Amino acid sequence: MRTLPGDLALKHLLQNGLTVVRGDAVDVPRREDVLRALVQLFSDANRGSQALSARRFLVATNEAPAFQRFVLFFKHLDREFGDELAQRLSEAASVIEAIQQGGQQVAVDARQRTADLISALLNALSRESALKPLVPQRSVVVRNRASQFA
Amino acid sequence: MQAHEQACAFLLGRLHAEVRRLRAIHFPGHDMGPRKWLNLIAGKLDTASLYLAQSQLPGTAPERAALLVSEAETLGDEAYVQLTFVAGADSTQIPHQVVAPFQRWVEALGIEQTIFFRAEHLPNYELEAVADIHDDLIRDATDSLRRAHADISWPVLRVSVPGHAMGLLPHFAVVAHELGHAIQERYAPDLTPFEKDIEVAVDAAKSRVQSAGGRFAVTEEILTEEIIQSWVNELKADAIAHYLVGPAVFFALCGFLELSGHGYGVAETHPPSDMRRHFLFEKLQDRSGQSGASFVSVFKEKTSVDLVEDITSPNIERCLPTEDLFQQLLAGDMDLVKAALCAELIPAFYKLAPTIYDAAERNLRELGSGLFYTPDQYAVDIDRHLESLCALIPPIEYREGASLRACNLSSILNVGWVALLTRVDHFPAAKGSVEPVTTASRLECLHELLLKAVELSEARRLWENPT
Repeated sequence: MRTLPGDLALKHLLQNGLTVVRGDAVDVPRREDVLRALVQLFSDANRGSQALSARRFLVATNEAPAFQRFVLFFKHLDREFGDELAQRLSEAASVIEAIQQGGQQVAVDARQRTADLISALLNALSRESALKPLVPQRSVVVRNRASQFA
Repeated sequence: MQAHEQACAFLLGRLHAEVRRLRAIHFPGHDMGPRKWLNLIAGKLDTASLYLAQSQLPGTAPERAALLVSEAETLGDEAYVQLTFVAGADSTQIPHQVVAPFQRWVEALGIEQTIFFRAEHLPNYELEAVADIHDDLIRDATDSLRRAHADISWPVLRVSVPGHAMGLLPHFAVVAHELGHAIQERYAPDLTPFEKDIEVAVDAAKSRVQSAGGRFAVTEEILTEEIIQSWVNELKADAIAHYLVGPAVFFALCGFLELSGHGYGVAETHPPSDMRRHFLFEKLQDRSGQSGASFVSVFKEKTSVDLVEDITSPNIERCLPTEDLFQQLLAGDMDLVKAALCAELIPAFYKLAPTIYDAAERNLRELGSGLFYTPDQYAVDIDRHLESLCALIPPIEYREGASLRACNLSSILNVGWVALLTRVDHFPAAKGSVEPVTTASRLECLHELLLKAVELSEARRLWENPT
């Protein structure tokens, strides 16, 4: 699979999402766009996570977006959160949905943990971007290896 | 402006110019897909230029200005790489005749995503889906970027076909398989009856891995999901292609697999070629249609040639028993976990494949019965066109009452394959040619006739329906 770069949108979404979850001001149309996208991202990832932990081997087949979004979090945050990741995703999905619906009932520590999760993903994406290797010098490998014996 | 800002402005200017040049190109079939993609890139470049302008505003804090320039550079880099996506979509690369008929398949299958076709110099048929990268969520996205993003039906689909010498028209039946991938997520076969088989297979793979000292945890379970998903999707695409194009896709897909490697074909991305061929061939023997004929029986009746399973692919490796295949895959340097999963999942997939074919058939029926290429149509097409084709008359049109109707692509491909497999020796030498008549020159002649058929049938269709 080829990867086309397009991470700036995700980075901006998470940066603005962090601001919203922390309760800081973001202009209203942007806030709505960000919350809509964040709810989708976290609820899908949470669904993917739950299905995978239930050993449902047809998750990727039947729920591709949920699976892919879980893989995004797992790939970047497994090392940091380990077995706790599933529970953190579940909590974050609820918190963001609650904020979208008004947000008065969201506990401060749950908000903080959600912000930490978003922040961790942002840091991981920045780290990945900073550590991305340059394109290596390429050599042509010929499938027929007869030349190696000449 | 500082040097790095100048460099960024220079790059953005060149990218804008490149987009303008590409927008002036003719894309075959008046294909809107490449243009929509170019609009998205142009919108992204507009946004990058806006960032650069914002960084120059008086009073902008140095840290903010640096961030804006850095993000303008990122957008420029993204745009540069995304420009490669339209490479090969112009009419110098892809045979222009085939694009409009492919687009008709797209419409018939109800594919609403933005799609385009391109050729590359690689032995590969492929559908790539670019998921929505949500460029509209980029901060301060320009109206041009927002509009271009909204104008695309995501995911964007790009179908690649081999170009140049491997751009063989009969093999283009494989495009139907790629379009099958485009609708693979639209229907979900009920595979729950096979969950136990899959679980048994995964547990067996896990045991193999652990007994060899390997690890089988969440990362490996994710890989398991990806393999199952890929294999199911390949079978879904094979099934859609079969119902849409009939024997031509069996000949083309197996023939292409033979030409491009003829190994086991099994990997995390594909189930074994032998298994895929088995199910396609099983469908060719199906006599459940109205007349009771099968594609195999029609082929035999019309050509006196037996249609056997390996007719275009005698060198594709037969699938080995699980243990032997596992050892072969390991010996071939496949990763332990992948080798274990690939080997163990095969029996489960032999069980569930018919369910996938049934689901594909139901899905196409919901779209309309006119989509199916049937044994009866096969017999009619052969009767109408085979002898004429051997007399160098391409299958362009046929008479229906007082009218002439254009042949469709499935008919052209199928008659082409029958000629290719059974009548090549009947093709006369070109008049006046001083070159000796070889099989290759006869096949080239057939290839030209089929291309001409596709082109002129399009002209006939336009003549009949000028709108």
